[in-house]
Amino acid sequence: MTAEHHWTASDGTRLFYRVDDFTDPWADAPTVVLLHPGMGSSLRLFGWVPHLARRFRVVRPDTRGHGRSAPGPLDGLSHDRLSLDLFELFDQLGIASAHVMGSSAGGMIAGQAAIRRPERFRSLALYSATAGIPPSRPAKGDWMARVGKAGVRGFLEQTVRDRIGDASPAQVQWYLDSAEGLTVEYLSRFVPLMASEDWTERLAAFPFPVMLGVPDPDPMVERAEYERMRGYVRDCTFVTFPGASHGMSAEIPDACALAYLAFLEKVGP
Amino acid sequence: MTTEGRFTTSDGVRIAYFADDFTDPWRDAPVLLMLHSAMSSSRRFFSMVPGLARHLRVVRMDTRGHGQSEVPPASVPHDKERLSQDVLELLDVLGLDAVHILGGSAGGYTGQLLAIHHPARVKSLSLFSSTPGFKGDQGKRWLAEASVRGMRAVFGETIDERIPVGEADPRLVQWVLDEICKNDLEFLKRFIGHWTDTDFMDQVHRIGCPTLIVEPGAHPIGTGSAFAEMAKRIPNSERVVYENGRHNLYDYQPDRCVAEVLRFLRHHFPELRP
Repeated sequence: MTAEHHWTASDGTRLFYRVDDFTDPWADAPTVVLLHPGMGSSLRLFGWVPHLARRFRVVRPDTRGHGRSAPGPLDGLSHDRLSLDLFELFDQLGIASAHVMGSSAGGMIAGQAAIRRPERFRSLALYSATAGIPPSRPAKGDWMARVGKAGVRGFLEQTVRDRIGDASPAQVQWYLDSAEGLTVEYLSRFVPLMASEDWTERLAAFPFPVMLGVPDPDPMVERAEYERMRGYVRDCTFVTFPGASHGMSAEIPDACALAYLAFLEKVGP
Repeated sequence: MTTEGRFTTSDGVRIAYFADDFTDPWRDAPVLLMLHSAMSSSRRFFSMVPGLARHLRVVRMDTRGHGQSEVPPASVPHDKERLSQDVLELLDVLGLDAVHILGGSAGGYTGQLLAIHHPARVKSLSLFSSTPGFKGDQGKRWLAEASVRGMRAVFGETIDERIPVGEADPRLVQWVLDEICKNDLEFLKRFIGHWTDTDFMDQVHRIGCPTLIVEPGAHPIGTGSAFAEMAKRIPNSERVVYENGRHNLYDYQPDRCVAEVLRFLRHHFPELRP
């Protein structure tokens, strides 16, 4: 069953999440939280759900400013705030800890949260997600100018091939629709925040198992960035997806979810 | 996503249904309608849904008098044609011409009757522990005894006919028993009572769609020889026997049932192949 909930974060912002639960009603199943990429929404991860929801309570929040979650005060947008959104959601759900998967910017949010409260993570999976956007990626530096000129939808349209590869026009349409609700004003805070820090070395302090899911090659990220992350993770499962695009969590959700399930099986509840 | 819906039938009964859809929204996926057995509800299909709903748009209907659907007052006439009519009206509400039907036991009786009398609405049948009706004394005995001793006593004593008690998780057994006992006994007397007076074996040769017949090998409920007989009569049918299987196959081996249905549907319908 799917349940949809709105709740209010401690700064008064109305946030939204979905829970998909087909676990045995007589048992207490562990929870996985799936964090969607930036410029998307939890809709992007629907294809993961059936693979996971028989064994796990699957929680898909809309990151503030995305999907059906309000943006909140823009001058308050910080990694502290985004981390609180995640942990306050845990409190809403009545769980001390969870397995967390973050795709692209969703992984950056998850990683920043894990730096702050590692005890709330049973495991962390990062799909197409780097530990921040380093200054060594200058080509992507004109994002905000391009978004300002073309609008969010227009910018996504221009870069869609890097994001979901050779998708059919109908799938591209869906991809663009599932970014509804985003504003240029919000992104002008959100994107620089993601690019504000390189926290690769902090990965070494994560006490839980970490999975890195990496498109091979990633059209938007140098492979060396992922390899550098791998070098710092203590307990690392490194999975490559040949031919996948940067937005593989929406492009090939079944392959992504099956690899994630294999990782979760290895980690245990 | 699972979305819930309600509609009112042409004879005034509120029916609940659930649509589970994790298919690609940019593609048109076929619909699988799941019809549960007597004394059950669409909820009991929960463990099959994830395995099916990425490939098919799954719709689960609570049969009248069961689950979240209304228990019709005694004054509302009840028969098997009315049960078929409920399904047709749901398909109309959803704007669906033809669907694949999966039926467990009594849900499969209605599925078979729809395939016989409304062949244009049924693309295929996947039948679990479902013969053409439930004629005989077995059901009548349950109901009479349950009136005296209560449902929990009667169905608790005979639960091994439905789920292999020694093999299955005891918590599953208790949960199924709890779910059975949520039902309205007075309505069940009408519902099961009607099926115990019904045998349409002489009509099943008219089922033209691909039909999967999954037979519980232990034959704890109904007439065991009926499965082979219906397989002989339904031209495009396939019979699979689950050795020593009990009546509620999909409650206790959902993954095997999911794999069976997908294999069967992919064999007959190329658009479902991965």
